[in-house]
Amino acid sequence: MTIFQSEPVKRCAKFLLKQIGFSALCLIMTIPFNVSAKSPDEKPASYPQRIISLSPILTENIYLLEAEDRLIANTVYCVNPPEASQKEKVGTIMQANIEKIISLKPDLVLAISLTNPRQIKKLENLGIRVVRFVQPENFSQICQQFIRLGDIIGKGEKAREIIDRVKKDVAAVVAKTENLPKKKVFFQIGIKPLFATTKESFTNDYMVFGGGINIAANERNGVYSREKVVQENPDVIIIAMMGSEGAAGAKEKEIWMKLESINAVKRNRIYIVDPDDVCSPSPATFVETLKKITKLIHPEISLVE
Amino acid sequence: MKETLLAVENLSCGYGKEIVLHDVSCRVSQGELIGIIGPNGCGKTTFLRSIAGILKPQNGDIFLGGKSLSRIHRKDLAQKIAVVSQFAEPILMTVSEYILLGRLPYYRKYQLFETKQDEAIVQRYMELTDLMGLKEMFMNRISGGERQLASIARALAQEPALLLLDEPTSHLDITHQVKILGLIKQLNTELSLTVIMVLHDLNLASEYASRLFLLEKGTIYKTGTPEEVLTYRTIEEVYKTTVIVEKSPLSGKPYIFLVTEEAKKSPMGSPMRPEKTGASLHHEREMRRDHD
Amino acid sequence: MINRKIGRWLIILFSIIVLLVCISFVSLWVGSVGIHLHEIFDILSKGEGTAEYSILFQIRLPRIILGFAVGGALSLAGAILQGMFRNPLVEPYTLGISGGASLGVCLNIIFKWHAVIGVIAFPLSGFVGSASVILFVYTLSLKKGILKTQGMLLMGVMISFISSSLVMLLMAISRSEDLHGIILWIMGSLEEPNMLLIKIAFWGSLLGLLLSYFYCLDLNALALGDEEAIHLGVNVEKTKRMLFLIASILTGFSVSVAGIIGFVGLIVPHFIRMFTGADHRILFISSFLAGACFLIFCDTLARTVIAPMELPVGVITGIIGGVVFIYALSKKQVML
Repeated sequence: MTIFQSEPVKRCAKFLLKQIGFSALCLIMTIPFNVSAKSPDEKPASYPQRIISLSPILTENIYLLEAEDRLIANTVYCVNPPEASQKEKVGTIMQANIEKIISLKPDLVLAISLTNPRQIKKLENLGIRVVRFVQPENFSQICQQFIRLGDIIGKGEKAREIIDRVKKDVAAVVAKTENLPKKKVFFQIGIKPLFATTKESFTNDYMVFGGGINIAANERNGVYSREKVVQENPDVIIIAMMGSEGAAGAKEKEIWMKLESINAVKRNRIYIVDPDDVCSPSPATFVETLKKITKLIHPEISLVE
Repeated sequence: MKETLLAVENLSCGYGKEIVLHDVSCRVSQGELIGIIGPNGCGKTTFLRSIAGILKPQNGDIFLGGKSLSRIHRKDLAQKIAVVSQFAEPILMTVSEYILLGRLPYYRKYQLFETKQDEAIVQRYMELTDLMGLKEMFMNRISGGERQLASIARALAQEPALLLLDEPTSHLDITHQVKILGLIKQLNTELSLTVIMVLHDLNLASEYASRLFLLEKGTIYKTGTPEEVLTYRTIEEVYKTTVIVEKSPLSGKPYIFLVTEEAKKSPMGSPMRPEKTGASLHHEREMRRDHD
Repeated sequence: MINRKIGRWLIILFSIIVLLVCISFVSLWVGSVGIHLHEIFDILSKGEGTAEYSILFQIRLPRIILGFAVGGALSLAGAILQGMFRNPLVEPYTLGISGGASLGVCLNIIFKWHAVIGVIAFPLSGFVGSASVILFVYTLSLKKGILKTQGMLLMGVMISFISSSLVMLLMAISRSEDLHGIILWIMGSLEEPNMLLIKIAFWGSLLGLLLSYFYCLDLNALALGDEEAIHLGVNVEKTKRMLFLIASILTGFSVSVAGIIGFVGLIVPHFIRMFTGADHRILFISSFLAGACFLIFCDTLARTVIAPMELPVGVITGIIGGVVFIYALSKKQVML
């Protein structure tokens, strides 16, 4: 008996045919109901008046652009600035409440890369305009995205104004640090597993601008080993992870302190920073955080204007 | 001369490489009540399973009503042959539902529910096996003997031409043994149901079967009436154990007495030669009888 | 006798259907956005295009339909597998199908296939993953054309372990955004944007139900054991194969579209068996409908309990299912 005459293959074939036939049937049955809701491609005649933000950072940016009167809702995590907590809530970053969003009748929904793509699709199917901002990989992308946001909501000029100022501030910091000897920095953003920041993230720029060298810059993904840190021997260790303000950060520091061969340990230069500042900055916060971190890397310089 | 229902020709079969039955041939006529006996491992159950169509012959063939088993469709076979296993599982099903399953071979292609006729048939066999009172009880709540009766009722509901039973009473008390075997005998005589039973107990086989197949090491050692097969010599050769065979005072059928080590000594108490064969024991008894 | 039995079955069926309709209505009406009963008529007659109409018919209704399909499919698959393996602890995920689907979706999230072919990549990768496992388990369990159910169970459990380890490995080395995506998917959700998929799931589950009825009597016989069933004229091999395929595909599809929603396939058939007994003629459809009820109910709870936030539906099915089942166990003798 050839393989094609054997029972299981025959049966598989029969079953596959059944499936194909049935799927075709399904498709035929769905044709009259395939009303594709058109998501408006064309730009609205006027700028969006009812905006929903699905990310704390976008909320912050809207406040910076002074467009908060047009922000009708945001997530439960949008607490910065404090007025943002007063707005209507539509869920979390990763799980938005579609019903609530629809009932508020927005004309623009702002999403980030963490937003559930299925929910974005759902909103688009229902005719809502969704604009998605990917995670910025460096400072210039932060600036670009800010300007893009400004253009979309009709505050382009203001956005450019703010960016110009921010760029000047950053340039000032760079000017102070570029001639200093570069310090090796290990920037930790995760404990289990040990996660470092790579050049794929804008946090890398804190070190670049701040006169440091990120020892994990060229890693493929951020997973790093403690042994490698010992080998690289950084001068500064900065710990910035969720929960680092509490016991977790202190514990991690203790663990580092035991590895006495590392320069950072010898000179007691292990610092814990607030992850909120570091991990989701608006252009303005970026500068503040940059100054803080530069001070940690090069305590000897003065950044006071 | 009754017509042949089952014909086994040169049957050799087993499990994989292991051949259990070697070149077995026999015939069973309609209306016979056959007992299959033999020591452990001689192939009794294998033989039964081959007849039931579960084990495919590696050599030779089995014919039911003239047609080879391999040519009979599964469902048709189930209408002709019914099997009662040694143990009826205590499953979660009422007795009536369990017996109803016996009608499955008669369901048409897309039939989901039993017909009135199916119900009537089940009723009839429930009455016959005296299970009407337990109709709605669950199988796992009744005794082993009652479960075995239900198993028989289910097999009967298949309305087969041939009924196969694998040691139906081995684990039951004497009440149920008599009841069940009596029922089978009744079915055999009244309904002309052909029965093939595997039996462990030689005396039960002697009492109830009309013909015996004595199996040894995968072949039929001897076949014939209980009187012909159950002689002390034959039993000693096959079972390698000493017995005394007498005529039952009630039915006249052979009755086998096991000979214990103690009984090998003289009944008067004097020590005899240790090696007592069946022949010498029988001779002794003859002598004593003549004396009395 | 048969009339009484059918009468009883019809009563059970009727009750479940009534329950299903009620729960569906409640689910349609209740949500994080309150829509008053008296508004419903207005909405139905002239509401097309309004937000309320969208909410009712484009957000809630698809979820109800998907809940019906997935709840029914998983419960039916559970009933089939429990009958086939004669083991009350078997559920659709025991065969490793959900493990395969998780692995598929994990890979999709990490390699960003959805950026290439759109959001359909999620259910597609899930289905490919589960189908691979089904094929794998099936072919390895075939020995000389005989399906060995014991081996199948063991293999399914092993595959589950291996897949979840692999998924954890992938999670450990993935970026945090991917990680969140994977976890979210694994936690299960009835929110699916693609109406076509919802329709396929709906008709697919009904088709599965229909096909299973060709084998429900055989499954009744199989309860006696493989060999006994053969004595009754049942084609045991064919029956086992077809039922396995039906159950696996129902599961694979459900998992691909909705993620991993556990306990439905395990608990619902058990629970229903307490009322209907083990006769698969009534068990199949009752499990299907009851599973649909259960999932729609749990989903409604999931999206209203802490509104505007939403709990993963798998959490609710686990807690409610477990609690109700333990309560029922203590009250009535469980039929296993």
